[in-house]
Amino acid sequence: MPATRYEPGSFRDPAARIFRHENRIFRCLSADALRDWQHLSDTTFFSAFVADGRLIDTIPVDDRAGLPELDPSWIAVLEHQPVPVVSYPYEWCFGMLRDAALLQLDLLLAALDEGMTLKDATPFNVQWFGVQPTFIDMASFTIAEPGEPWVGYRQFCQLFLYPLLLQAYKDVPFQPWLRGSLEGIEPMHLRRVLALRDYLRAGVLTHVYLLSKVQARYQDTERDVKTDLRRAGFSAALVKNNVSRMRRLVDGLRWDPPDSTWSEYTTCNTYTDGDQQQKAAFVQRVVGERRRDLVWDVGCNTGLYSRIAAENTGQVVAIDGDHLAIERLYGAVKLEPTRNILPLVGNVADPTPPLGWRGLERPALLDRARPDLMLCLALMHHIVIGRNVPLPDFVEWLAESGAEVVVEFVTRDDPMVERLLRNRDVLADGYTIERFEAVLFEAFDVVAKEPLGSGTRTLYHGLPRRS
Amino acid sequence: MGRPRQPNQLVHAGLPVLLLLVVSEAPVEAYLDPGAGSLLVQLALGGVAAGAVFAKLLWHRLTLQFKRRDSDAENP
Repeated sequence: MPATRYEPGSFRDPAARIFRHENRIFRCLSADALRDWQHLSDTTFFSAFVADGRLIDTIPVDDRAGLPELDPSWIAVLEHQPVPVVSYPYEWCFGMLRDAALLQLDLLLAALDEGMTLKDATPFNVQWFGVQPTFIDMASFTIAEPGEPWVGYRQFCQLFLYPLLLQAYKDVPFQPWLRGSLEGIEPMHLRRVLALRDYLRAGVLTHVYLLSKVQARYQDTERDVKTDLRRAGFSAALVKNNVSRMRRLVDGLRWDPPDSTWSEYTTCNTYTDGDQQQKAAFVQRVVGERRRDLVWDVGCNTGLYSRIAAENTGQVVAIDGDHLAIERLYGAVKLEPTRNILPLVGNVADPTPPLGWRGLERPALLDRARPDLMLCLALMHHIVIGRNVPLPDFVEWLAESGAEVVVEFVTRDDPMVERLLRNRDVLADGYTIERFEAVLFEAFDVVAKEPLGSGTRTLYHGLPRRS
Repeated sequence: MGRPRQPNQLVHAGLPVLLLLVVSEAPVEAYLDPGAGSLLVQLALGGVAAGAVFAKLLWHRLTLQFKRRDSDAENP
């Protein structure tokens, strides 16, 4: 029997590994991890968090017949409810990262009350069912040793707190920083971009300045600080106090984008009402044909078409390169009954690449969530004109996804395209509807075509040609 | 009233540096290296309650120093 293929991203904690088998998700446990799991499953917070969806549904596997052969060091196996789409913090908006951070802290506080703790503090352990964050790593919970400090504190700062501070205090997008380093932002690096007045803001003096200074000076120390703290009486109550303070800090963080960004956002929509209704009806027809597992709405903006798609789809991934659009969509969907729209920050002209160890640890989005249908409404001109991507390349990218597409062509007479073309007329030569249709009809079976009333926009529904 | 008292951050800022004088030397074991600095900063964050732990750490270290000196004197 071939060796079990473990998930490449699950190697960090040697106490457990993840593997997939027939579209099911399993976690194998070492003896230590099993002891922790047994303790965890008896706690009251475990049942409460699973019940309200904040912990992934998990059951122990008693009968391992039918599962791949495992190394004997794995003495137990758990099965988890699969997550619809795996996403990473560099694809989340500010509100999502903050809610994930609050979940992490709430779990830690609940665990401390029942003699447990979390051995790490990484947003990669949080996934989403729509806009509901869910903690997925059961092996993170461990029985707390007496006098043990908060081991995940530095990791929490680097991967949760600092990205949030960067966005809230400096209005600097955190996603490129997290995408640039899977370990997050070093205390020293954040300190260097902060101004003197930022030291008066909550959390900066201690969590950034002090931590960076102490860490830099004593990073090579061989002293066993953990043991010394335990001997001196460091207690779970102190950890709880610190975690509660951190929770108040994170809960109070707000990202208030400058007014100009907001006003530009609200005025950039140039559609006529008639066009919008026609587009909505077109999407409704395509979505209504049959139920699909996964739909991408690329360039989702306010999420109008994501919501239409969500009515007859397992999971909709609403993607936009505009962080602000995703922040607003996340906030809005949280208040709605819809539970199958996952908003993500992403730019198809610069998509999230595979990252981490051997480039396998954190796969690219398309390899995590291959769509059945892609909605590309009011998108192509931004990519082809705004990003100089040749028109045939754009259609080739659509075809490579293997998905059905709903795509909109916007002519150069449209006000949006005119704006994109200002001072760049040379790019417009190949941007014609005839050329677009020539390449589209070659790659797809176009089953529907509908010009919109304004006369500058046309919609197409294409089925991929299986070669 | 109602709102918890904030620690005096400037006073606490010097605490971890002092702490490093009083900790012993031994290997640390964990899958995630928490970093010595991050553990010490947690005392600075801990406010008044952490002060007692700090005092105890300091006391242990001082008594250890005296014990070493006595031992050195007996076995020159």
